[in-house]
Formats: sequence, structure tokens, C-alpha cells
Amino acid sequence: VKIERGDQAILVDWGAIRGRMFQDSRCEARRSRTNFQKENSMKFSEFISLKSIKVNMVSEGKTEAVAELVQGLVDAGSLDESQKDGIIQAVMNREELGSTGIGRGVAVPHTKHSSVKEIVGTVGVSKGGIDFRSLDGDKVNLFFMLISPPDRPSDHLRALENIAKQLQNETFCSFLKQAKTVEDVAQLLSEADENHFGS
Amino acid sequence: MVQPEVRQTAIVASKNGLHARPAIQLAELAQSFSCSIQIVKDDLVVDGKSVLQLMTLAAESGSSLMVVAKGVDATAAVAAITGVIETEDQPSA
Repeated sequence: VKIERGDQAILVDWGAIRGRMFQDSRCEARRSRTNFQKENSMKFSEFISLKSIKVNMVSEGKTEAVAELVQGLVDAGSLDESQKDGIIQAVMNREELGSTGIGRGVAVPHTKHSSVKEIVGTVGVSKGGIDFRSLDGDKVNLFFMLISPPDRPSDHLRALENIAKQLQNETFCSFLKQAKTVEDVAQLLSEADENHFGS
Repeated sequence: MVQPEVRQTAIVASKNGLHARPAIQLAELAQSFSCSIQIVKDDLVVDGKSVLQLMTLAAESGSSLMVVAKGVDATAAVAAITGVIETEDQPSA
């Protein structure tokens, strides 16, 4: 088959469209994280709501801390105000099954909730530490909260994977605990996403 | 004296995969044994006694994990840990 100049242009255009379609499908795949794909962990930028980050948590107790983090997500527009109490209760119900205070001053309170269409998360920093009934008994200085849609367990796992990977780095943890502003935390999360901490 | 090494494959039964709660449960269980315990998924090898390391596996439901224990209580450890991996999750995650 002889391809004329005009046909080549069409083919080039079609190639570009196919390429774009392929890219779009990859993006979609990255968001949906099907069980059939092995992909990298979900980056902080894909699920942390920067506007919701709390760097000077004022709470002293566990329920209060959960409520403060959820309120941050509500204020940032990531969660519906009308669902706030239900989400706090769901997170606390999850905590009743066993504390998500995993030690080393870190907790990952989370729940599934049908009011969210995709996973949302926030970061909380408490300078004085909060008693979260952690595994090692230490107070918690760093919180990573996740609220996930019930039908996306894979997203939840990928987000947890990233959090766990980064938290193994002492420098990352130490800098986060010292963060004074939301911008400090955002910068650290961004650097972590770019593998500046060697994870 | 050579430490006995025991290996066994287990399939993750929880429909939500090895998320925080089973990871914590697994690490706490592993810590109750004196033997060393590693969990292998594909090319990833992690310490079975570390919650953070276990969560980095992002092991989904149906994925295959190899439990490798080395030490005097390795046989009991592998039996207990594979039991947890192959236990279905409670409804609320």
C-alpha cells in the first residue's frame, strides 16, 4: 500500500491521538489501581490534601485528635461537613479494633467511608505528642490520616505503602516532626515524592 | 549448631489485602517468637517483625507471600504467621 503525504499526516495525527489515549488510560489506571497491575506506591501528591495539614495540633486526647484531623479535611473541602461526625465515629470504631499508633511517634488513623469517591488524606503534627494508645506506649507526634472509598482497597494499600516507606527514613520523620508551617510539610512531602529521602 | 530454617507460602485471604490492622497483628505475632522472620513478596524481602516494613509490601488479596523463619521456634512461627495471612479479614477495615 502506497502511503501518500496526506495519509502520513493522518497517520501521524492518529499516532498522537493513540499516544494521548494511552497516556490517559495510564493515568486512569494509576488512579484506579486494579488488582491486575503492579504499580509504584501512591505518591503523597495523589492523596494528601495540603490545605488540610495541621502543624500545631492542639488536641490532647485520641478522639479529639481524630476530630481535629477530620475537621482539617472538612475545612479544606475534602470531606463533606454533613459526614464529619460519621467519619470521626468510623475512624474511632477502627481504632477500637486496635490502635493505628504503630510506634516511633507515628499513627495512621483511617477508615473507609462511602461519602468519598477517591482516597483523601492529611498530615498532623503535634509538638507535645498525643496519647494514642500506641503499640510502644509512646505519644504520637506524626499523624497520617486516610479516608478511603470502600471499593478501592488497592488505593488504600498503595497509600499506606508510601507512608510506611517514607516513615522508615529517620531524616524524613525528624524533619516532619520539626515542621513549623504547612509549607514546611508540603515541601517535605514533595521531596519525598521525588525520592529525596532515598526510599 | 545450625539454626533450622522453615519456609512456607501463604496467600493473603483478607479482601482488603495486608493493610494496617493485619500488618500490626502479624508483626506483633512475629515479635512473640525468638526466630528471625522474613516475609517475601516477589523481589521484596521485609522483616516480619516490623509493621512499617510489612506495610511496604502492599500485599493485595490473593497475593502470594513466602514466610521464611530461622531459629529454634521457626516451625511454630511459620505455622502461626501463615495462619494469620490466610485468615479472612473482619468486615471493618
